[in-house]
Amino acid sequence: MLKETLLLAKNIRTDGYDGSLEAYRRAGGYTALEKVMKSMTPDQVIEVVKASGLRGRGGAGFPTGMKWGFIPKDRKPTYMVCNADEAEPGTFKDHFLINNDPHLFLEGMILGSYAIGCNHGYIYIRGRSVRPAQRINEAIEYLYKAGLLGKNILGSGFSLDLTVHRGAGAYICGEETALLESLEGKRGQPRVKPPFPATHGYNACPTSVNNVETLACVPFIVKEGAEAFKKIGTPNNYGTRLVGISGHAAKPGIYEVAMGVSMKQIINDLGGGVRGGKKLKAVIPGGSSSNVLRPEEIDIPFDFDSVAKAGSMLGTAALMLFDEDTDIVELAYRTILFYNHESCGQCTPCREGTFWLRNLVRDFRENLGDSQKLERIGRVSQQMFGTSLCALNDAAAGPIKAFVTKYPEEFKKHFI
Amino acid sequence: MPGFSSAVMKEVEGIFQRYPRKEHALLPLIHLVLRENKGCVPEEWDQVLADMVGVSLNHVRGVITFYDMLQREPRGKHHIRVCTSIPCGLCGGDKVLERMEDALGIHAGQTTPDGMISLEEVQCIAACDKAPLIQVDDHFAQQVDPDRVEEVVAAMRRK
Amino acid sequence: MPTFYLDDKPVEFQEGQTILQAAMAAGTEIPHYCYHDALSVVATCRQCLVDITDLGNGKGLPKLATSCSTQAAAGMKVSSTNQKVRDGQNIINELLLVNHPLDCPICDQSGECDLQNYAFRYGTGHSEMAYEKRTYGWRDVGTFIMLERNRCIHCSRCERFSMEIEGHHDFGHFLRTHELTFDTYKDHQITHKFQGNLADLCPVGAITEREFRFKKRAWKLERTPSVCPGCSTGCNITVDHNDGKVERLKPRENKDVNQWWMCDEGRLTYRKANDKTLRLTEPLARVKGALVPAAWNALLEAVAGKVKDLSASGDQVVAVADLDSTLEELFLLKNLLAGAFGSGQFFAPHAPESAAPAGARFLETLITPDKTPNAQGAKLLGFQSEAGNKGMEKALGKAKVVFVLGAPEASPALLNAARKAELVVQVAAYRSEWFDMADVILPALTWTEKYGTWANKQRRVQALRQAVNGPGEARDPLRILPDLMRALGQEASFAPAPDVLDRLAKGEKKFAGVSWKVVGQQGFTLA
Ligand SMILES: Cc1cc2nc3c(=O)[nH]c(=O)nc-3n(C[C@H](O)[C@H](O)[C@H](O)COP(=O)(O)O)c2cc1C
Ligand code: SF4
Ligand code: SF4
Ligand code: SF4
Ligand code: FES
Ligand code: FES
Repeated sequence: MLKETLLLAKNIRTDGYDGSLEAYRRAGGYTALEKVMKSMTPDQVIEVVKASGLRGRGGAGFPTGMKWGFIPKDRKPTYMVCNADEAEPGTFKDHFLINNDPHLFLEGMILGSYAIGCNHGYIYIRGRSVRPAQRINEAIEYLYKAGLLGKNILGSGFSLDLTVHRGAGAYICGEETALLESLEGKRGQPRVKPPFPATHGYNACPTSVNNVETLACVPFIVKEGAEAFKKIGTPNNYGTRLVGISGHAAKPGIYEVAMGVSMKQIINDLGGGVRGGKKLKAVIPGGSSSNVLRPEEIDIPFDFDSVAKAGSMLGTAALMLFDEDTDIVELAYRTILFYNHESCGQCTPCREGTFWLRNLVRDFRENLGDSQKLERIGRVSQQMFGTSLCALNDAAAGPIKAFVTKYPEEFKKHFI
Repeated sequence: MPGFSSAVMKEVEGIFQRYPRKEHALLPLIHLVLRENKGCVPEEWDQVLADMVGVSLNHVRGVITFYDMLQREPRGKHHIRVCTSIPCGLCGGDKVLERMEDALGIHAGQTTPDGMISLEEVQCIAACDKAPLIQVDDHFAQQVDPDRVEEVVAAMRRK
Repeated sequence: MPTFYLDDKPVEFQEGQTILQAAMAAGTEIPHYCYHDALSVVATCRQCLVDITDLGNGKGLPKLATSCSTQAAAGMKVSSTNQKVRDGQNIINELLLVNHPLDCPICDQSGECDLQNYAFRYGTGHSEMAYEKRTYGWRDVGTFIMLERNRCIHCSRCERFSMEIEGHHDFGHFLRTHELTFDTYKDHQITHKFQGNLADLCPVGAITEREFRFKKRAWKLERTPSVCPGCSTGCNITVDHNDGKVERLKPRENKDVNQWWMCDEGRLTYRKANDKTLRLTEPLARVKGALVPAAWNALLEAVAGKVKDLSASGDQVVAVADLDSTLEELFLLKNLLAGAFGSGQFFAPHAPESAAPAGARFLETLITPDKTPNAQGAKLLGFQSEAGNKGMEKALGKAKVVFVLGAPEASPALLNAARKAELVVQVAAYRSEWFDMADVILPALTWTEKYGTWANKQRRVQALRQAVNGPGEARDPLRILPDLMRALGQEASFAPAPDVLDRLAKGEKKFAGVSWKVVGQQGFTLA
């Protein structure tokens, strides 16, 4: 029976824990910060994060220490921006942390800010999350009062302000350059890269954008050391993941597992399998942007590299289960509807391609499909892949291609 | 032209302090407009906002029409959001929305004629383990049974 | 210069140049919509995709890259034609047609539309999209332009022009996804003086000039490089014509003069040339107070006879020239005066210049208060202007014979002074206030009908070229002036503008080094 490995959710799983500053400190919180303020240079913080092999939990899995290392040392100001947009369908892990233990990622964010020499950080949170935004703001208020934010933190000479910035309803603002545009008071349209945020980010200054869960890993790494972190997980995939199980699971929710454990076990042992004793038809392993897996494909280690090898993506580790009664056409329709709705519209393939695919899939939903249209969905999703400015286009095209390739029989049921 | 009260203007000054440039404060200011205007940004505000943060009118209009939370028409006293994304949409969210529309006699995107309740169909709101999910004002109602939607609405009406 | 390889051919590039820029400089076309030399790079149309098979370090890129946003690097290997690139170009093209009305038969852009051209060259030429397309309608977005949003391909050039070049951000974009719309704010109508440039930048028929609406099919037009006569900037243009008629003027790129732009007033300057009610089409002589048609030769002889009768010479002969006369014409006029009469009394009235405000945008510096194209040229040739009207009035007061070239701007006092002369001979293309007092009118070609050069505010000598024929019996002043000289007993014969320019360069120190060849299509700035 697979058990959780508690690194990030340890406090949360403790009875009576309320996520307040007091509770967090009682559980050993902010000792990493104290240690760093007393005895570590910014470079040493970057080094230990590099050594830990921590990879970003926002979707792309980029090494965090390396990202921080890219920030030029001779340019000021620099900015740390926490990506708390979390709008990928199926994903709710960051909100799990924000709602239940906000100080964990805040401590990570303060450490990261120190590492890259940032004196004003921003937490970008989606607009509809009113309460979670309040939750963070309250936590920040306590931190100022406790002298853990503001001028001269713990007498170290290091100063930091944090500001919560609310979005207003646009999934694309989770993409880091769109996020920065939005933070600058503009439409959230991804930027052309290069230049990258590390040199030209917020307000054209060096910037590191990091996911909530990524930052939440940092206090542990700083406190316990890189080696302790590397004891968890598999090579190149160290640490844990907060897996959000949803869909037709018997026990939906967030579960923390060491990376590299069996995906099948996560589904069955932690998620309780399919609810109502039904059979499994499909699994989406890493949020709506990842390709669907058939039940026979899920017996793989749950880590970045293994899920990629299986032709999908670990992404946000949002595991969605779909039972035998699920209409894959409906699933595909909800998927393309989402991406069409969320395309910022600036690039041709994404703007027009998601619109066309939405129309095509809708035809199947209305039982107006035919083999030509099925072939066309495959062709268009294949050809538009890889031709756009940001990854949203591919996040739309990839899964649609996977649905028609892996479940043609489901689409055939909707022929005219 | 509309404007903020002097109390709100104090908040605005505080917001400006938090950004290196005034124009970066556009979204926070829009959120204040939402708060003060029944959850909407009337068009008359475009010029006011543009002047406040020092950008063009088209910049403001571009921003307001980009984000789907920003609407021009006032919301009802209570606002219901129904998630029909994946997974909610596949766990009954679509049926919840249908029943909700029937019970309220309006379509998503509309407000009841008495101005009491407005209904919105939304994409994933990051609580998918509670699917199908609805959000009533700032509160979540989880695993909503489509057959019980009418009760929920009746209860709200009574409030 | 460093080199990279485009389709296996070495291409030299400058540090910082993108693949697209280097390719274009080397004469290889890579299709593109959103990229424009004048504007910031957004890389959103995705039409310019190329396959980078080697970044210069032995490693290639797995995905296609946009050539407009990727800098060339030494040793880089790029394909713009392989199958992967073709597939990419095809799908972009096909997707652009998803929501495009394909109303080419009634579109003014047809024939010069990038979408149409690329669809033909880089697309499959068809779209399998069978759903209802976006439909908007015509919008009255400007006093000079119209917007048909159905045809918009969302390249954002219009918005970038209004933000980065014009400065008012009149064009914005609204909504998102397939509803994305480029437009002005609600019913805002653009009124600035540079709207035509928006139509030029728009790669499709979404923004079009009202002036050209449903007028002519673009592919029928012939384009003659020339210079705008509208002001002392002398924007480089093409005169677009068909069947002997000028249909429109379009800016022609010149980095040192107008860059890519011209003003809307300038675009309309051709109207005057086409206006039959204004044109002088036959030689006229005043008989008993009224102007009556006459034959060219007889009239020239009559002028010579009259001049002899008056035995005018020296200061008794005065010339007044319009500042849209070419350098060559002014040179001949000056020679005529000096050679036939020993007179140095040649004038070209000119409103004083005023400088553009400090910190003005480049575009604002284009339109100058001096509405003449050759004031600097006249000045350099010694035509008096700054002396002001007083000197001219005095000179005219003493004159027996006055030669008028063109229709020089003149105050009532000047006209009155000229009226007293015994003989007023005008060589002109248009009717003007001089019409009432001229004794002889010799009809001339206007700027779209002849060759010649003007010197703009920068003392840059730029060439006009004949695009169409003149009306009726109108003749080139380069022919009329020698004919007059001959009638007056001097040796002279017709020479084409390049030859006259050569003589001018030899005879006038300030024009040393100038020739038709060095002027070329981009002009030559005098020392
Ligand atoms: C369309 C799109 C949406 C994204 N949404 C999110 C998001 O909601 N939260 C997030 O952390 N990263 C998101 N990302 C990934 C970010 O661009 C970025 O890689 C990430 O925030 C970096 O943080 P990390 O290195 O800590 O993972 C998104 C990317 C794309 C292309
Ligand atoms: S791929 Fe889509 S979302 Fe991303 S920049 Fe292009 S249009 Fe916008
Ligand atoms: S109107 Fe023309 S220039 Fe403007 S975005 Fe559309 S196609 Fe481009
Ligand atoms: S700026 Fe002057 S030269 Fe240029 S187009 Fe206008 S009128 Fe003609
Ligand atoms: S899908 Fe409904 S909350 Fe995520
Ligand atoms: S020209 Fe390169 S993307 Fe448009």
